[in-house]
Amino acid sequence: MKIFTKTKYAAFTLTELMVSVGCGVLILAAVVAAGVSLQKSYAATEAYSTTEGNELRVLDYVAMDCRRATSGTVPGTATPTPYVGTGSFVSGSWVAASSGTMALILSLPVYYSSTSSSAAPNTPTLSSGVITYGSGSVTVSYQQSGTNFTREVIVQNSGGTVLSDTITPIAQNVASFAVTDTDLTNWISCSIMFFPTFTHNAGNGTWWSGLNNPDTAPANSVGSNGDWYAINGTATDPTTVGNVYFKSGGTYSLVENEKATTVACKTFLRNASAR
Amino acid sequence: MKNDQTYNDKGSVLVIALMTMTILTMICATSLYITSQNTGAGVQTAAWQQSLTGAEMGIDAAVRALNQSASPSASPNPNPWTNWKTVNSTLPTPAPSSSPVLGYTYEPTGGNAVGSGSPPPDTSHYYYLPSANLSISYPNTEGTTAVNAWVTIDTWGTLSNSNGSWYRVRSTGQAAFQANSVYKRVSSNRLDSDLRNTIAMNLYGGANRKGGSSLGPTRTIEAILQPVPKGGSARAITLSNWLAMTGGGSVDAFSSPNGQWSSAFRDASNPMLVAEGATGNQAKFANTGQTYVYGGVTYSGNAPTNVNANSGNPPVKDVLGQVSTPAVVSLPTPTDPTAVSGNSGHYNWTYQNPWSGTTTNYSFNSSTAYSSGGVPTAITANGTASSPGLIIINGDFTVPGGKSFTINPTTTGSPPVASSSNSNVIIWVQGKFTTSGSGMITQSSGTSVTWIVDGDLTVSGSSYNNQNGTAATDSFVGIGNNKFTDSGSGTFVGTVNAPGYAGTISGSGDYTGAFAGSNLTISGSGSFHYDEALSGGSSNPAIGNYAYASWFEDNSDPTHKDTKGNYVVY
Repeated sequence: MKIFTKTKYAAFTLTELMVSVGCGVLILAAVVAAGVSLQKSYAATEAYSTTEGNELRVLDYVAMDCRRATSGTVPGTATPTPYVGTGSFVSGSWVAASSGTMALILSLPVYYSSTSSSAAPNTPTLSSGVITYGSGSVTVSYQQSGTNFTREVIVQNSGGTVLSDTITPIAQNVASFAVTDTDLTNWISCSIMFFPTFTHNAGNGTWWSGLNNPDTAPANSVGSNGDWYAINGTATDPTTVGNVYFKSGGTYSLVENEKATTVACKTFLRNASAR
Repeated sequence: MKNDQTYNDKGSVLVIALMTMTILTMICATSLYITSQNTGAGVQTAAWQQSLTGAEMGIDAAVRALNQSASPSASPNPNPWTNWKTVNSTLPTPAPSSSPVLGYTYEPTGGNAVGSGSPPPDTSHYYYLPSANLSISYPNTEGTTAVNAWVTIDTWGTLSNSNGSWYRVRSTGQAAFQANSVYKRVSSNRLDSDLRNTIAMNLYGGANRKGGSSLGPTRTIEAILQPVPKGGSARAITLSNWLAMTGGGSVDAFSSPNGQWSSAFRDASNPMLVAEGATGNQAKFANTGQTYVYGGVTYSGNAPTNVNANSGNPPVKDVLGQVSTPAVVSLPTPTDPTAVSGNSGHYNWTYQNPWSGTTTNYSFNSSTAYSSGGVPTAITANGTASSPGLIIINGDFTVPGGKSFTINPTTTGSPPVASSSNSNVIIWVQGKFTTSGSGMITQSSGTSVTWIVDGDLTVSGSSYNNQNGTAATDSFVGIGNNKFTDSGSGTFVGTVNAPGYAGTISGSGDYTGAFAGSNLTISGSGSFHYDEALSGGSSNPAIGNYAYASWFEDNSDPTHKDTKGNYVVY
């Protein structure tokens, strides 16, 4: 006896297959698109949070040091502090350079003992009507270094020997730093511009910032295709400050609805006034 | 029989699904972690700011208590030290460590209540205000649940100046989280943790360096407060514009038992002596290798030339004390007496002394008037301090060479003895005041004279002999915008309050007293000595209030290190 077992193979028809594949593609496309959008949104939120953190940190640092700044001299010079100038510190001494970046230099009370590594406080002394702490000097310098914003702390003993010289980048993605509208005896006004951090535009080239000259677009000779350009506070037309340009095809074009962020603080020099 | 029933089903779907779910879960977890870190950083930033408000709250409480102890008031609370505690020891200042010390890094405990009416702490005690009196809580909220502060006041030693003790006020504010708060986690950004002093929250068993077992960022402010004597705002030399010192003289302050200057009585604390309201480009010190001001200079506008010069061999600073800006010069403008309508010879006069700060209202029910040329050679000062005599000179008053003018006291008894309490007079010169050549004005001992001058004022130590020897007994009040000139070789003893006058002091004679004017040039070799008795004296001056002398925010933490391993405490 022959047992005939009929095996039945079922299959989709071509039409069914195409419809199912089409639906699957649509679903996958939607999932991928949603994922990409979520990723972009997350990245943008993360970038915003990071930038906000940078901005808050910079303001907190500058304001705190201005509040407690006292009178002193720029190390290596006889220039009194607070001081605003261009140059940099080399081996603990200030070297002015007209082409350098702007620095805000403040003197702080020598509050902590330089001989202790655990922040032992010095007791205040009164001399000639002036309160002083310890001996030597503590100098804090704020300066832009590339797209970083640095805080340099130089501690020297009474003989001028540098005990420590620490540079800490306290913020990234900085476009420009300016100290304006100040007499350096009562108030210090600082502004720091940050490059915008967006992810939904093409290009990942170098960030530039500077004078918008003429006040319509940055010079096309600057940078290369894919670069960005933010107009900083040196622009002659204040309404253009913060504008962002993107270079493509050899020319810059304004990016609509995008602005660089500027944070600012105007801080009263409490020690200057208190005395 | 063919039994073809081979099946080859492989269960890969489950594995793929699990892997996909794992990857998605990791992505979600990472996103949530980073998001929570960002949230935590944001909350801690806010908490750090709140802790500053707490620290400032403590400073304010200390300033209020000190001010109220200096100038007691019945309201709102007559006791400036309510809830304050006193500890019988000096404020400890050890190095911060993992075992912080009460009173320095941790809130003090113990002590006794400060008695009502007690003075501020002496050198062997410190006061503190517990956080129970400086806190605000909001327990049922997310993030911080309270802001607390505690503050100490101490003298940190025996340092003081002629005005009295200075005080160190150290206030710590803390924004506290709940014990199980997720926000006790610090930010993933080390920079934030270094700045905001939050990294220690996960160290020392969850204790904050300054906050004991409480979680949350802390901020400490150390302010030094200096006493400001009661009295007016005027200094030794107070000018609405500028001072120029081009000669060989100097400016100092002194306090002596008899009101007469000697270098032995010089105030070595270098108090603020010169206030210049608008220097322009005129203010200067010649910088010839000498000390011009044994004290401080405060100014507004361009810094006076050579304020910090350090020339000579050995180097000598032109200004030994603090040079600061801005100067707030607010001199009251004196005015002439006003006639009382309907009462001939009756006058009223209100005068505010810029050095003592006192304002006096005078009512004269009689007066003696002389014409410009009819002034006798001697008069008698016959009035009390609150009701002095009034003499009016209708025009210029000039004592030319060879002439003299004497102001005698009222006497009592036989033989006659000067009665200083009844020898006060105000002489109102409605024109210029001039002594010239060998002309001599003698103000006898026991008399007190106030000159009101409506025109130029020319005087010298050689021609004005104040036999009292104290500046407070001889006051010139200049009305309007005129000139003041002091020359000669004798020592002038008196005060000049002429806010609108352009002054010149020349010659070799010293000037003992005080000057308030528009501007002043000191070109001679004579020196200027400020008698601190004019503003209440220096030995025990009455304190009006306390002012900030220094402000520092302690942002240190013994755990702060940079990437190189260096401690980051500033």
